[in-house]
Amino acid sequence: MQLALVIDLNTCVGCHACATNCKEWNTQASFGPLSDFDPYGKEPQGVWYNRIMTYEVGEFPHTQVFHLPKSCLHCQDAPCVPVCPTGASYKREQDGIVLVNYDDCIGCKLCSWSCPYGCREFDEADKVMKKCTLCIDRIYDESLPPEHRKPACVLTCPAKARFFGDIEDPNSEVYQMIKRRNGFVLFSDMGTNPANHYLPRTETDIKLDEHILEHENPLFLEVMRRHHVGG
Amino acid sequence: MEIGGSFYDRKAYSTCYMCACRCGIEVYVRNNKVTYIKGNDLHPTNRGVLCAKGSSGIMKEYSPARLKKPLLRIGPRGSGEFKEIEWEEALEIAASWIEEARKKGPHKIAFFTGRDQMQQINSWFSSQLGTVNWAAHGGFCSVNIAAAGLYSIGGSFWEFGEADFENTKYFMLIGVAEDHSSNPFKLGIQEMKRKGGKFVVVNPVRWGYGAVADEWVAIKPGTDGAFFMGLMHVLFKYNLVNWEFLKEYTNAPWLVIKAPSTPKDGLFYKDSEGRAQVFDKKSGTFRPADRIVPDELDPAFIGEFETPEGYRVRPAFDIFAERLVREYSPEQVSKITGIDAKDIERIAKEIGTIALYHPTILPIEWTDVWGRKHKHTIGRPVSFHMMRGVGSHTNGFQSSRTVFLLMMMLGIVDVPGGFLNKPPYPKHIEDLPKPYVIKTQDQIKYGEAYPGPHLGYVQTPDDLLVDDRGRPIRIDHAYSWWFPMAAHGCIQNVIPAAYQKDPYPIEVLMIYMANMAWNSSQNIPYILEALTATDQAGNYIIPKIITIDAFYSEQVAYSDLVFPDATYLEQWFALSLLDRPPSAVDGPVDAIRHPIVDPKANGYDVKGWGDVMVELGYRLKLPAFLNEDGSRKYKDFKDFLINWQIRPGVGALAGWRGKNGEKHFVGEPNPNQLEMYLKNRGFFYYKLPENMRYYRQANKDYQEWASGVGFIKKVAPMIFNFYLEPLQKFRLAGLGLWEGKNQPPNDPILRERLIKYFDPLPFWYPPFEEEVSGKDYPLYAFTQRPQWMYHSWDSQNVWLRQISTRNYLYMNPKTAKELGIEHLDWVIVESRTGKVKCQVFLTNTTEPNSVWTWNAIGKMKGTWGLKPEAQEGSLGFLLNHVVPHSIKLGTKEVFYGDPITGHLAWFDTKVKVYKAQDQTPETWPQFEVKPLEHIKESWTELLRYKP
Amino acid sequence: MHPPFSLIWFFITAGISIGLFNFVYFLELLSLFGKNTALPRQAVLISLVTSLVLIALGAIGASFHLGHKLRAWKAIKRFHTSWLSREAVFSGTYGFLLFLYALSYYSNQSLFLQHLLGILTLINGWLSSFSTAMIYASNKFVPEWNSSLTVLYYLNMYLMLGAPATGVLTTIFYPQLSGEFFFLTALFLSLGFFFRLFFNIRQFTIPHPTLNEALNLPHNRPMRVIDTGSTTNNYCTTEFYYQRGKELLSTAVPLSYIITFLIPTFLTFYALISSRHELIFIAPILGFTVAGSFLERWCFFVEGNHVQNLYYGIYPPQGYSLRKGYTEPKKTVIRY
Ligand SMILES: Nc1nc2c(c(=O)[nH]1)N[C@H]1C(S)=C(S)[C@@H](COP(=O)(O)OP(=O)(O)OC[C@H]3O[C@@H](n4cnc5c(=O)[nH]c(N)nc54)[C@H](O)[C@@H]3O)O[C@H]1N2
Ligand SMILES: Nc1nc2c(c(=O)[nH]1)N[C@H]1C(S)=C(S)[C@@H](COP(=O)(O)OP(=O)(O)OC[C@H]3O[C@@H](n4cnc5c(=O)[nH]c(N)nc54)[C@H](O)[C@@H]3O)O[C@H]1N2
Ligand code: SF4
Ligand code: SF4
Ligand code: SF4
Ligand code: SF4
Ligand code: SF4
Ligand SMILES: [Mo]
Repeated sequence: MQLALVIDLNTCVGCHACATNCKEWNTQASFGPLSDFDPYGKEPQGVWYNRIMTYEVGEFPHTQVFHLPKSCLHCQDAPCVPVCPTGASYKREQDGIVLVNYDDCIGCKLCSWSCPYGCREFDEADKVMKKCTLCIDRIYDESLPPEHRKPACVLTCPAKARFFGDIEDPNSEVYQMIKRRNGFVLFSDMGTNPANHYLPRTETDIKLDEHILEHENPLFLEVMRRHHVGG
Repeated sequence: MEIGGSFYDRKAYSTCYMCACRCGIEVYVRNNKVTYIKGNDLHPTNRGVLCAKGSSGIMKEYSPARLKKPLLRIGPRGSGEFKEIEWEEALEIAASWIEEARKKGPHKIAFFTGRDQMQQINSWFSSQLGTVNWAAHGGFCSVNIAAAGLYSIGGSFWEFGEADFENTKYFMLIGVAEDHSSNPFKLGIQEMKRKGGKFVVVNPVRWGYGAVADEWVAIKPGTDGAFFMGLMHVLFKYNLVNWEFLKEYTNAPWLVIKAPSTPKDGLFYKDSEGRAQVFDKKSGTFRPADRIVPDELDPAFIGEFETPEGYRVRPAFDIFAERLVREYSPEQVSKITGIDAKDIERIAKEIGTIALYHPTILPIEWTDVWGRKHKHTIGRPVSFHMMRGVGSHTNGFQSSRTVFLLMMMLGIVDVPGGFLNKPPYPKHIEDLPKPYVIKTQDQIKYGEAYPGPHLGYVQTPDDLLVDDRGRPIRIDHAYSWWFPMAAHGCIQNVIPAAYQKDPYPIEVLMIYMANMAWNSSQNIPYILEALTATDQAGNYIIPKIITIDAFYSEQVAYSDLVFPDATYLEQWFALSLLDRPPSAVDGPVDAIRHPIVDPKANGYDVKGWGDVMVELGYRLKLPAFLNEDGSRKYKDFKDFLINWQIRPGVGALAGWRGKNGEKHFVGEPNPNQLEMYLKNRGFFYYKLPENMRYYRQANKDYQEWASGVGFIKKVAPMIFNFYLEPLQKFRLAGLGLWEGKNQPPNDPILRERLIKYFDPLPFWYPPFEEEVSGKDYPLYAFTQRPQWMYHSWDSQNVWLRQISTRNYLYMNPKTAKELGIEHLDWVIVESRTGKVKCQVFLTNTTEPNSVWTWNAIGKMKGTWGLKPEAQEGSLGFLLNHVVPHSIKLGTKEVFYGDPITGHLAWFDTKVKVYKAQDQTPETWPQFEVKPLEHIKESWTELLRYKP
Repeated sequence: MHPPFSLIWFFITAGISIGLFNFVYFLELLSLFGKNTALPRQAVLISLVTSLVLIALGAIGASFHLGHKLRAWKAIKRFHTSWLSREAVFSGTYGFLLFLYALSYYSNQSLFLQHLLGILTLINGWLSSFSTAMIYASNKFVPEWNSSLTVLYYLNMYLMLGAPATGVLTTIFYPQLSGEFFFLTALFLSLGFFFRLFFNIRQFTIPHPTLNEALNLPHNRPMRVIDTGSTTNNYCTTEFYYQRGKELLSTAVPLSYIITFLIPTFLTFYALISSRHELIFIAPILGFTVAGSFLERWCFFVEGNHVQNLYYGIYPPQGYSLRKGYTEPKKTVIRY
């Protein structure tokens, strides 16, 4: 089993809801708090598990824009895990979630150096490495109603662009979606084999059967005639 | 480390107020601190989701910018020097100031309420004070589109209506960055996209929603009206017009008299009983329009006819058709809008074909008001939503009208897949309220209440609030000859008008939830001058400013007395059907807020404005707040919400009325009503049966029900104003042909204005700024809403401010090249009224005639609980500094706004941009005030939120 | 990459420590085979103490890089996968064995024991330095580092620092040998120079990944970052990118060449040619090499570009490259 997020770039509008809701959930939950430094000053700098970036493609007027929400991708060959000298960074056998055990972390930062995606953030206050936990403290919480046992970011996404599930289970929604919408991963050739997938943009285009439109409206022609417009 | 463990000991349902979208929330609390806020799964507005702001409510609740106690100014205005006082003293001072002013004349009190979600109650409160001078924020916000909608189809967008995302196949988003349907849009757009619908964005900028658009129409600012006229030209040309809809539901076929320079010119041709006429092609006779359906008439849309009385008459549509054909061919429109003629033609064909040849047919039977039974409900799966990109221009009203006419031509109003109203809308246009008219400002005497509504929809010049010499009666010049159809008032004019004592000086300015000293005013240096100017004697020209606010905003810093409001998590509140409720398209919804956290426990000695209002009302001995025996009528605002009635049986909340909550909508007050709301997760949702959900302009069952609950006054077809006759009456007044009692002053410029812009059929004209700024200021400068911030509110919010502590000026690389500007250069943005220095960010997402930035990121140093060195004050900038607040017309300086509604035309602003000599990375101008003491104390180096 | 001083410090201290021991013990070893290369007892003891002190200081310095020093011992847990873990283990055992060796030497234990410990110390020293080098060389995400040159240069650096250090000792205590160490210094300096040169030249040749690859999106047109989701810095933009350093690099790199290689090499050759194997030469040579190496290591960090910077638009611009399978966005066509 490999739990992961699948993010649909065809509906993501870059609203940052998943980022702030992630912060909101996690700062008070098991892996919190998420420190914010100089919160009201010149350079506020906080620890976030999830950040949204925006990219443009091409030249005006043929510009494309897309937003990229980026949190730990829970790589299946996670390079951040083996480099960790203490084993604080580990990948769970049972569900493939990559976690940091704060009690073992010595804060050497090597794991973050070994993440090509910049998905780990060091908390200078706790002196330990932090990252997306796939909301492990929600998804297994029996006290929550089943429909709420999902990552905070998934539940809150107003564009329903975030999906959660087991990408190894052929019957899962996420598996199907990746197949059907040819989902892709970031930096595919870094040997990381990310579990989180993204679904590409697809543009809807309309083809009209022009024959309905062949004849110009007689009323239109009449108006032209009456007001001597055109020929 | 162990994982899991409960994150709350208490859970409550309420309504978000991180913006005005009115989403339902679940609030989780641990140790009396909020741990988590989640969307309310069952709430129709957001169905469980929350946006970036809503998810950051905690950091608003515990923001250092929050006011702790009532403040009394001790230093000069704008110094930021206050002393904290007790509530008793604060209320006494306020009461005495207001009382003095009322004695001098109730109109000397101006009460303006910005992000107001209890407008009905605030308006009612102002009436009790006796003042004519109340309005909410619509004047600088959305009045163009609201008014254009209400006048055209008896409804509009946002809380009034929205696209039927469930069924639409083509959705066009026009001039929108975020808007108030924040979550509903995102939910809706993804839904329609997943079903394979096409999503088109009409916007000079491609960002936010633009990312997922299937097509981006990069329009030149200020030209939307032309674009839509172009689309209608093509629709007409290829006969992609829903004649059936125009015939039955609009006045397009009605005959208009053509009798130049007579008082009848441009008015509908009516019979002796005053019934508008059409020309029936079947019988070749003139017949009353209201017989079209019953007698199955075949009214002419094109042609010119002679009436028995010898009038030349033309169907309204014929006049419009001539205009389309003459002036708005795709080629002509292309020149104006910068959009390729081929694209204009293609887009028109797409929407026309889908709407007319690919209807959505729902197996729902319904009956129309003429008694016809319809086997099923026919939908037209094309929909639009427009907002401030279209509205915030001096041609905004007419441009918005073009969209509503387009909706009529396609027949997509209140049909499946098209635009759907949200009850209590739609309304019969002729029954819309009118502002109560007084003839002199001091007509209402001390002790009297203002007898009628402050705001409404004027139908003729005689409905204006002007004195015998045609001067405005309202301080904001709403319903004056200069802004006759100012349906929401003109909040933006209050401060300049009070400063210029035009039409008269005022005594007390009360501001609730509006940052008028900063981001909601234009030409800020001038506004700050107005707020601080004194007469020879050294008294402030605006003598007293009372502000009701929750945070240390710029507005607070420029006030004399400040009431610290409770937040949305701390007070009783009603999102009322009388106001702008969170209704759904398939039924009315209203909702509440209630105290979830106790402000006292966190050291805030604050009171909800509602409680303060009730308290003031009592202290001022306003009759409405007293029982017959003079004793106090309402204990507090909670009590008020339960027992206040605007009409017998109708109060703030519609759900569970009647002694035991057995009645809905109409019924005597229910002492346990609020508890019943709490039981139902904080809201009341009345889902209409399927047969009442569509064609409500003529849906018998719906209208019978709606008139029963008082949403509408009668069961009768709502005929949409394709042709907006009231405008013609103002035009006649301009021509000196109006036969009513109000005549415009003999000012040629004013009269010219009435003649030119009050065209009953929409047309496009260049924004005023083109004339005065023209070529010297070649670029349009405007702002966009950041999805993660609400106006000025969120710089105090630790999480949200990290996303943007400062803003850039976005510009197209080609434009920059021509101006010799490079990426990240510091530049001067100069309009005809002001300059601001800022940093440029080049991007291909922006059309070459435009520069823009995120709205309200820049702050005044010392405000908003931020340290003075915060980037908001030094790198962040406010575009408002360069937005003109007035325009010289002939000899007269007129407030800058739409000539019809007065809507402040933010996006008209034209600028030139050039590289700054001084490249030091700092914005200019900068303003500064002293931070409050308790705020300084709460500045931490490190925040670790985990209650 | 942001240069952490604690790590640079460890590079140099460990370098001198192990390098110095390497030569001193090598001379001891040779003496086994009847060559009288062994340094005078006093000199050996000084060198051993120096090595010990340096490795200790190195370890202490390095620990400042850690968030939790007291848990440092846990670093041995992932020996089988983590080069950092291995470094910790080997440098630790190196220090410990060095200490034992010093004792055995001091207390004239049996030659067998002495040399058993000596050999083990030597091996551990080398394993330790190899592990250190591999922490960087094995990081695929910093292409500038991800090369055998990183290891070669680094191992050579140990000798480059060790040789002159031993040189100083010999010139004082065993002048007969000093010539050899001037020669060795020259040799390793020149090697170091070439390795570093290749390391720099390589930077121009290695293919830098592009934003298109990082995003792996179906677009074969240039992409630009227009919003990083935050107008202030965060851990990722400060740890993996050092604006100020990048600006200084153009001066820092040449400077490090001059101080580390040119000056010392010149002095060494001058001393060799004029066969004046004296302290006034070898001391400054050592001084310059050490000082230069500090600067060189600083550059080594700043020169490293972490690929995560692509997402923030702070990666060296490379234009963009077409990757197979790239197409314009898919269109779903709806017919009406
Ligand atoms: N997150 C968030 N949501 C908000 C608010 C907020 O502050 N933050 N504010 C709320 C309020 S009060 C309001 S009024 C609404 C406003 O909601 P919007 O109407 O979305 O307001 P703006 O952000 O001003 O968006 C104006 C859009 O019009 C575009 N534009 C500018 N000129 C033209 C033009 O001439 N033609 C066209 N077609 N487009 C043009 C701009 O690029 C911009 O995208 O948002 C509400 N929702
Ligand atoms: N350049 C430019 N300027 C614009 C616009 C634009 O597009 N461009 N948009 C305009 C539009 S559409 C609008 S609606 C206005 C909005 O601008 P405003 O009406 O000024 O609204 P805000 O800036 O959101 O905040 C108003 C005040 O509400 C206070 N407040 C926040 N929460 C509470 C509370 O719980 N209780 C009380 N009593 N007060 C509270 C804040 O402290 C702030 O002082 O801005 C306008 N200004
Ligand atoms: S919440 Fe959804 S739409 Fe918003 S940024 Fe995140 S993924 Fe995109
Ligand atoms: S994304 Fe980065 S942190 Fe997450 S598993 Fe992959 S490599 Fe590790
Ligand atoms: S920082 Fe913590 S988790 Fe990361 S490698 Fe070091 S010890 Fe492991
Ligand atoms: S899964 Fe949970 S931790 Fe990860 S990004 Fe989403 S909310 Fe944050
Ligand atoms: S849109 Fe966001 S901020 Fe506005 S009410 Fe809904 S959740 Fe709250
Ligand atoms: Mo607004």
